[in-house]
Amino acid sequence: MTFIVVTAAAPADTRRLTRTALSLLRSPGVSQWMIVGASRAALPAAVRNVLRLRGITCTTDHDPSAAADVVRNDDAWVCFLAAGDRLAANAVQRITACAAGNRADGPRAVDVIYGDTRHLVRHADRLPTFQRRPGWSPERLRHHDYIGAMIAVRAGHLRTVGDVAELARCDSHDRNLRLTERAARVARIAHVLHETHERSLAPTASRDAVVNHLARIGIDADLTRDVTRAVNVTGNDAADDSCPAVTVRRRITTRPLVSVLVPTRGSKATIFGASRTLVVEAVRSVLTTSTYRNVEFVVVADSDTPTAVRDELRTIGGDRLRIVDFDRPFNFAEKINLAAAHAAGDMFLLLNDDTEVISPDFLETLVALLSDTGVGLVGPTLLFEDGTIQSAGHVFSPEPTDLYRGAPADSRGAHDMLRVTRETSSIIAACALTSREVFESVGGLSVQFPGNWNDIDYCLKVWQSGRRVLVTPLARMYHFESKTRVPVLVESEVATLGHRWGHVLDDDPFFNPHLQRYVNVWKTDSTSPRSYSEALGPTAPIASK
Amino acid sequence: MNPPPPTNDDAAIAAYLARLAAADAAAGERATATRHDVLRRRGEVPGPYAFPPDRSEIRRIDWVHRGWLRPLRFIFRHMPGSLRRLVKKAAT
Repeated sequence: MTFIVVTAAAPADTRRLTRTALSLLRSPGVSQWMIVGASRAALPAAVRNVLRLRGITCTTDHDPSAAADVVRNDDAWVCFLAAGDRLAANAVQRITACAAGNRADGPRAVDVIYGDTRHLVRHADRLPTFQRRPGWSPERLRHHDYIGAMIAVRAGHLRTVGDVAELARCDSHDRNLRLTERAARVARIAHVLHETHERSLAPTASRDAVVNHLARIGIDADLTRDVTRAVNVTGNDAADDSCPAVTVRRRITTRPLVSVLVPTRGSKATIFGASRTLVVEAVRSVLTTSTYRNVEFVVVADSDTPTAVRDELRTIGGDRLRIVDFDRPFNFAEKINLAAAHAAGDMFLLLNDDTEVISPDFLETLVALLSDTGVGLVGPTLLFEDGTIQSAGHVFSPEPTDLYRGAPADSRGAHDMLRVTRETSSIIAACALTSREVFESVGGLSVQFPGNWNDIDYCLKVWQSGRRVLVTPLARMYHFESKTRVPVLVESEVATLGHRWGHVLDDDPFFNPHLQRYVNVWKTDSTSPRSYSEALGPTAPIASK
Repeated sequence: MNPPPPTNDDAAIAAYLARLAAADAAAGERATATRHDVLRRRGEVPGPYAFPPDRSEIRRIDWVHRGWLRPLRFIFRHMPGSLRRLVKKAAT
């Protein structure tokens, strides 16, 4: 397989080009190196000779036939590499093996590949850090460039995207969006493919790149630049397009009827120092706080639900609320399915009764995301009563775990993951919006999971159906779950979940096998003395999810 | 499966729930088949699933506190900074 490296450089950037050239020498399999923006003379003669002796053809964009040569062979792979960065020693083998393996996997050949980055540090008393990247997350890429400066693309696909020299020169966020938006398949390799001396590996974003990307793929959205992180923001905001993230808030085009499915037994609890009937306040908060009006409620009430609670629900819900009796042993999944059977909406909001709306436009945000045909389920960030995070998506570690549980609500997460809408393996069904079509096609919630993990099973069925599961920080809800509750693992439930999804639990596509398991806060699997707070903060040596 | 069954029609609701159960069973079978396929490719035999044990503590590398290293560590920590940096650079 032909492997071509393309590097954009300043005209006289000898030092950086030499560093990149030397890394190519230790990467068997590179057949051509194309320099964009500089001439071959920028390289020392000795380096040029060694490259020639090793069989690496060095071309530049000044040579008119060079760009055409790069994309002539459909099966060749082109790797964009910034000047000064290095290709990891076995990157070419890993990329070609991945490309060949994916081709054998199915009819849709992989078009784009990215991987992890090692951050080389100059000071001997500091250990190198890593950017461990999650699996392919198109929604996250719209918010910031989590893929980074190195990306490999099949030449046949590259030819359909644009000119190789122009792509090499443009901002990495722009390049990554353009290369991936029409790709048949994008693959992540969970190994270091790329090494860099850049001071910070925190993702950045280009607002212009996102604006153009959304116009190309037809997403109507409002964009704001998230500049709350101080690092990496240079100059004043108006002059510099680069920022830590772009917040993409999709505009809602239609307002379909949303059926809010609420299982309950009419329990009371003390919330914010006052006693309340949970289901009444949950319904009331959707009716009064939410600005989305086209809703109906289907409350599935256990037979022992007090009459006073039923009356109060009918009073506040009026003809928009229906109460369905449930007189069987507790089974959350069965109650939700029964509610769906009585619902008339095009979309179903699965809602626990111990919740309360925080963001008035939470339903608009969720409906707008779910309107994308590639999305099957979307959920908000859930907070505890004290304002800390209850769930921002799950990670299979391998036990399903709420990510950043108990962290402050304004936490950015490793590499800003909590600041952006992103793909995740599963979300909690305490508040989640799905479409009727998806719900019915995957068989609703599985009654094999009466209490635990019916939501995880549902999410994995959604992924299996080819649709994505998203969690967004743009919508927030309270979930008044006990903070000290420790979920009890029932062996039979573990076995049932694992019987279906053991392969996913053991290898979460949005986790990284190099990160330590069994920890709520992700830690890189190294011996460096990183503190807990550092692991939580934006300078964390990891990036995933 | 559209349109939604009429309210209070027990037969329609039972049929709807049965259709959901059938779709769920089919999705479960597909998932199990994929899992078995993954295990076979790894050369493992499909069996009952259990979470693997937590080995994160077992894997901790604590060679710094071994007895034989103590004098060397003492010397290293009392070296001038510039020398220490040189040693670290050479070591990494």
